[in-house]
Amino acid sequence: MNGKHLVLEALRNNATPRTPWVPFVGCHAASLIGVDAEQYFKSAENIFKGVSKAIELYRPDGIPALFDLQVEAEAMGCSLQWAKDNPPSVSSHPLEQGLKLSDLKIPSQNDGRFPIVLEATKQICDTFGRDIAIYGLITGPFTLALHLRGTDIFYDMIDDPDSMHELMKFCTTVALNTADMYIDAGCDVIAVVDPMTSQISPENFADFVSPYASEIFNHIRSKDKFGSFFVCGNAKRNIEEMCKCKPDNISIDENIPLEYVKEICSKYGISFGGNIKLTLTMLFGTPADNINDAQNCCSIGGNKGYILSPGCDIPFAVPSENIKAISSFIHGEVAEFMQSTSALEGVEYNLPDYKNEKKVIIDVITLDSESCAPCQYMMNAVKAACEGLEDKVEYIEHKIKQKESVVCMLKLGASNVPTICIDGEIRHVSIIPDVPALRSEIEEQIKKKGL
Amino acid sequence: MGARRHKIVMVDLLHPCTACLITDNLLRESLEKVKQLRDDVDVEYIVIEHPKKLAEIEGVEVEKLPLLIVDGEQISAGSFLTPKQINAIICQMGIE
Repeated sequence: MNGKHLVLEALRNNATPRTPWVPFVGCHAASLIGVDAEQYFKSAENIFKGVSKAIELYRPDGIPALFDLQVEAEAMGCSLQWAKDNPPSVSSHPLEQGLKLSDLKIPSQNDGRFPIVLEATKQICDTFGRDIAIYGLITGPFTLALHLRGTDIFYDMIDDPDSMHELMKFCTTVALNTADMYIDAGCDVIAVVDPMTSQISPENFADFVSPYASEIFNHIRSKDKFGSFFVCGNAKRNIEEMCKCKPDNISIDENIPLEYVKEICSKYGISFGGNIKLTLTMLFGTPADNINDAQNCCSIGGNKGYILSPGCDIPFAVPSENIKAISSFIHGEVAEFMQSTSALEGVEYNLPDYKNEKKVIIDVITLDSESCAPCQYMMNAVKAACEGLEDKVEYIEHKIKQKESVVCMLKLGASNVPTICIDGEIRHVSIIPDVPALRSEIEEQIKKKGL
Repeated sequence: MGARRHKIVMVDLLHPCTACLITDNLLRESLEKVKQLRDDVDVEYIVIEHPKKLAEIEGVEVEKLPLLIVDGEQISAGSFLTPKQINAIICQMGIE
């Protein structure tokens, strides 16, 4: 099963052999090829180069062709303010400046930056689309309506609901048209990115978003493609309404507890994803922090329908090593990754002479059981299994935040965390054993050693 | 004696994600509209690189960005407010 199949199986809400990994690379790809965000978003060549580099470095199972929620708005007359290390932002709203809805045109493949974006998307799909699920991102109808109308939209919902519905219908037509363009370019998944819906109540969502979002997801399904609903911000109260729109997947940021999203999505049989912290973990954390966050997400998400992703598009300046660390975790190569990035020269760790030790030695390799939930469960299982055997068994936690522990991990031949070794032999990787079974294994080893 | 002026501080991140960037810009637009609604308001924009800098900003209680502080009291965290809402909050705070 290649990466693309993993993503598609998860989108079908089926179990997968491992968690699929979809890094939301947007303007961050510009940093990978040494150009600024403006040069990146305005060039098909740079977009293709950037995504290619991200695929090479981060070995994803799926990736967006582009993460820019301003493409449609710009093609319809919104002015953009460009930045060197951020995505562009909308700086004018045509419907606030006197234009009428009838003055606006549904953008075609020839308008705005669509020729550039579609050329890049097609090239990405042609080159990588066999093995990697390519996401085409469209601006959700509510966020697009905000781009066109500005802040007055929040008054319109109360004072002039008819005109609000008219605007939402128009934005839905734009969304359907844009989805078709990305599908024709070869995208497997259409992500309807509607972050600003986090700013409205479930009642307003049901009135002003649900009918239109449902139409978009029905349309995507009719084309035999998958639809994902992206939201950012504290949208917890709207998750159930989002599910009722029948997307194949819902992707969230760190503001919403993943446990909650899993519970609601499970109820509706919908896949879910996201939740890696963008700023504290990806931008400012260490590689170990990133492995920790990814591991916690996967531990909660489980192996049915969960897609590991950041909460939103990865900021420009996120260190590559942090994203590579997540990739190493997903591909079960944490030890190799830590070896390649840590300055391990001169760092020593001597393994015990397990055979001749007067106790059974249990090495538990973790990130840190105080901060990593699966590591904590693993340590707790070991502690419980060893209860009453203290004179015959010794357990040691090796936190791979410490260089000596990485050397220990390498010498034991372990690749992932958490791992339990009994007298130098790898016994449990990632999956927490149940306490009676683990105790039996330990007792067997005690017997074998004649202790 | 002149009327008391009100100080609004907006804090956001230097490198927000796309969604936060949209919220940031809309909130800035709201504040510019509040300035047009009333002439007794001064607005300061603080852009921080790392969330740990929030601890150094007076009035911050809930660390979600973008956030607004009016006369030393935090009134929003990670959410958008319309110009009318901001204006109403200033009035409700009993400042006027």
